[in-house]
Amino acid sequence: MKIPVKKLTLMAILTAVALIIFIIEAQIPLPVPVPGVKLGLANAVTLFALFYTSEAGGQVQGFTLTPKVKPCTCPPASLRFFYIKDNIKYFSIYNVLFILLCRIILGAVFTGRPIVVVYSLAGGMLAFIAMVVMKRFVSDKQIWVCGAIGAVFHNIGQILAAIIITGTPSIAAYLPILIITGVITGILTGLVAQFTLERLEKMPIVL
Amino acid sequence: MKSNKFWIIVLGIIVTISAVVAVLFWQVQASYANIYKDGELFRPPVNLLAVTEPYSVMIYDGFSSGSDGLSSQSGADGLNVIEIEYGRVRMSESNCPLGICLHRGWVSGGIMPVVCLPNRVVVTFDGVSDDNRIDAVVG
Repeated sequence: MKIPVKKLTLMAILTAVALIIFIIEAQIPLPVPVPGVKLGLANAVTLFALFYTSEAGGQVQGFTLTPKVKPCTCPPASLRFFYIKDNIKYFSIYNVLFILLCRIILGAVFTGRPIVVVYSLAGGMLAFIAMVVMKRFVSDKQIWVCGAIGAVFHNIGQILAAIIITGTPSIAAYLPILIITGVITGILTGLVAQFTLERLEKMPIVL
Repeated sequence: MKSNKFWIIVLGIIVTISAVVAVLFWQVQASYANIYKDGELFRPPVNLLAVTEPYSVMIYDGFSSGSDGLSSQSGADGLNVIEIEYGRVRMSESNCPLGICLHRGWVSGGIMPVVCLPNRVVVTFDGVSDDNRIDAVVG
């Protein structure tokens, strides 16, 4: 995979930002009697990367099924569904996945709890797939919807991991409450990503 | 692209369904509590309605010992103390980092188990009788 230096730098910055948010958030215990409830602000970075484009206003920001590059240099047709224009102006979903995986693995290293990997990975992957699919159905002013759906699937993934690890299916009873908090926190983190992208478009500096 | 209104309705429906299910899950008095460590039941189910003297069960370093005299082998690491009273149970001590299980406080039943994920300790409930259900709603 060849990644332009500019894009790679931006990916590294986003990974660092997500990691810092993740670590700080892990230090704040919430007085909630349900395991798995958290703000999930690190997901805002994933959303940001998923919807990011360096072109200011007026551009189509969703999935583009016909990349600018000729078919010989782009991924096989079977993968084209999951393909966002591969030039410096966009992240492909592989780039976003890379940011997410780096954050999860480094996050577990820095918080010092290896079991976190299993929960974050299960939740993160499911949320990522959900958000990639949702991206086709929302506009760039509806990132909060994508965030909410992502958070709900993150919680579903975590509960599945918890059921497998502890071997008790009745943990699924927590799911309704996690879905409610997930929708609320997901909308908030989605709005964070959305507002950041909106402000970034108006900035004179081009990232 | 759907309108904002469409998405608000979709998310609203998801939240409403979850809220209804959650309310159903919370309020039921249980008669038995099962304490699991690493997915294994290490002591016989506790009959909550037959408890006269409050007692506690300590799970530590592969062993569990109760102040009722019953002790047995359990899963590895972690420290948890579970207190048992007439009709209710709580996690009173735990060395897990966030202490989420401690925030649950006293739990008298419902489908929702008391969970300590880092130490893999789970307390589930079962056995529901109708007269207890009324107690639970009033109390």
